[in-house]
Amino acid sequence: MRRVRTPGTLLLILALAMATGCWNRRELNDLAIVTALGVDKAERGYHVSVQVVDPSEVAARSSGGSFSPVTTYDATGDTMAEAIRRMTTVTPRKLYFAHLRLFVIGEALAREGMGKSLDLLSRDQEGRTDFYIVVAKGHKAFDVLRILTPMERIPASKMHSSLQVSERAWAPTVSVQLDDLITEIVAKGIQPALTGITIKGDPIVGRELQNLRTPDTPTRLQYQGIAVFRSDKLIGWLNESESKGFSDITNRLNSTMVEIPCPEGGKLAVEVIRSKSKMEGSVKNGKPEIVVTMRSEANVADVECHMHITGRNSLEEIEKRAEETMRLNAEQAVAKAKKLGTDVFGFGEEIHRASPTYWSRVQNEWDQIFKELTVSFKVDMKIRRIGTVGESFLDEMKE
Amino acid sequence: MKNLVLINGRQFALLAIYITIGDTILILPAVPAQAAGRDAWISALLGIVFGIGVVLLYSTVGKRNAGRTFVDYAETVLGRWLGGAVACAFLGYIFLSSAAHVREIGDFMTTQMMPETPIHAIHIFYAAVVLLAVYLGLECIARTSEFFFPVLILFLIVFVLFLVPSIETSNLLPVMENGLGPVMQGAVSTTAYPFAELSVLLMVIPHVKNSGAIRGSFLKGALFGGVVIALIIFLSISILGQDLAARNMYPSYALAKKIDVGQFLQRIEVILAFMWLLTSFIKTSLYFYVFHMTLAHLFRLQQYRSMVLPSGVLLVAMSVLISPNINHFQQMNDYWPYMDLTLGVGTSLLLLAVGFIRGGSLSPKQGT
Repeated sequence: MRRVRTPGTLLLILALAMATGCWNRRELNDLAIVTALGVDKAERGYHVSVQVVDPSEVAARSSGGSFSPVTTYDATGDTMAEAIRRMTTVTPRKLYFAHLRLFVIGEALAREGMGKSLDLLSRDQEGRTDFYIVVAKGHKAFDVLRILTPMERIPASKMHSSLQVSERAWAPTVSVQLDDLITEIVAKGIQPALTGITIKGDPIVGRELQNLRTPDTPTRLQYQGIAVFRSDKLIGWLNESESKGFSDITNRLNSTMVEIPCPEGGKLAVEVIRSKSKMEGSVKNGKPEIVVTMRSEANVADVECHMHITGRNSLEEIEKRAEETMRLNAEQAVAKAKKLGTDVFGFGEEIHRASPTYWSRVQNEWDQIFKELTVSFKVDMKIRRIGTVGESFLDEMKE
Repeated sequence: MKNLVLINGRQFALLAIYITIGDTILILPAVPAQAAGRDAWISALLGIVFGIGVVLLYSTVGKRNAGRTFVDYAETVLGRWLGGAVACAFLGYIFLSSAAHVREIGDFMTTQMMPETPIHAIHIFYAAVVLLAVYLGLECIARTSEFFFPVLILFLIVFVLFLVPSIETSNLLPVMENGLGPVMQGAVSTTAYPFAELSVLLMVIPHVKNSGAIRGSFLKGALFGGVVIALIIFLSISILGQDLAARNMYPSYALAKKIDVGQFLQRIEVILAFMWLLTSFIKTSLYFYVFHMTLAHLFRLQQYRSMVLPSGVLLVAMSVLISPNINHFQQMNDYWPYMDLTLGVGTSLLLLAVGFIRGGSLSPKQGT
């Protein structure tokens, strides 16, 4: 056994010596952690901007507050890679992208086609694909990255979490990650859709620390509308109700508020607490057809009108009206997409699954066929509860 | 080499599992996905079916030459010169495979984890451990595989459980859109990589204690490994979708990056890398051990240990020389399965056929 032990021990010692480090070591204090990446159109190539965390300003213990919690850098280059590397001429540390939360695409670039700016992120081994991608509506991505936000000291984290929260509780936003986006750009039967982000207030004020000093935060970032694409080019926006319809059709809707008009004026809101939608495609007589079934459960949340709600049939009445509103949203969304001629719902994929032979014939002219596609909706809403009180006190309010 | 080292049937089955999963867990999913698209999982299932056939063939060969290794049997059946030629081809095949396995490790590490590290550094360290394993012999490799098996199972369960919620069955539809052709084409690699490569075990069969249990252990091991591979391919397609599964260099690694349990348990893709390093290590070690067995037999050496270091140097050199860049290496997927099939399945069939024609008189221990 002695024979065996000697080389083994030697190897172990050797291995120990090498275990202390490696070529690719990255010490935390050598890294600039990028939380958001923005890309805009430049005269040639791209104008890339990054939002980097200043560790001493966001650390839990330190008081912070006197300097901006994040720093932005920007550079231009013919390619994404070149622009990012050029930033090393201004950044004190090497940029580290594994903690990227948000990728913002400027509207101008999105309109021209953003596909080419995505390859770097999907190819680089450091990047992960779990960040969200949004479009800066009416602004440059760089401007969006420069707005400071309260509560969450890192604006990118704020935007990441508020996109998640609003998708879950409000619906007209979609959280799209790189993998999904690339699949949607490539697939023939579905087109990409991204949430828009916009700046409310004066962008110049938003850059100052002053923006955080007052409770009303004069300049804010807000998600607004859904950008619809044809391949990698932005071609239009869905408004809020269309966006809700979009979320509902694509089964992204989880919870939202549906407002319905009362018979005698005023409004009533129901809170959708569970929702599921399913699309089913078929081809009849050589014509494609889509039936979207949307089922949801809801509670009455807010009665701001004179309406009898505790009666035996009153919930059915509300259900019917709410269903009507949801159907309307969905129909508007489809109508808008048809007008723009881009199938963001993935109806094509559904037809593909339903009839592969029909699909192989029409896949290249799907955008045209989509405009004529018959889409019908079956909306079914069940209202279960009406909250903690019965009839609204408004009924007995002194006039 | 009269004093045979012995392993038991359980260890043999485990070795079969490690070889089946081996490097394929990381490398394979993209290959059938490129050929068969979203039907790659059907290719994987077909691969299991064909694979069982391959394993039955191998165990028949193993049974006929019980007590003798594959190359020994080849010389008995085909004669000194022809058999020697077959043994030489087998030797070259094993050597190339070992080098390719080392290169896979190097390519993966330099692509996904340490892009600035010279690939040689990774190769040398990996090869050093492999050489140590080869030096210590078959028993040591078998026990290592036994020792790590619970860890492997645990990681596998964690991996699959955490991914099940992300499955989207719509990624699998429509099924067999383009007919059977692409699926069969995909099945070539899902048969060859996990199963045809089991041919190295033909050199190990004489070392198994209870030779009657070989077929059972062989089948059990290969089936288990095959199911794991099919599961990984199924998850790749159903979660990533056919496009990304085919586009990604390492789909199962991309898959592992998707694990996110409550925003808390995430970034654990290293689990998959660990599983792969482990199975690939056992596979490489066993391959290189078999390389030495074949070498010792061919040149009638008393023992192989003195050869370990020099051939290790060759291994590292070959692992770098085997392809100038990643594209060349990926393109090997076009013909590597056929090499596996020719030298594993083809040679086995040849030996069986010739052995059958020349009669049973050639196998002295027939019936065991």
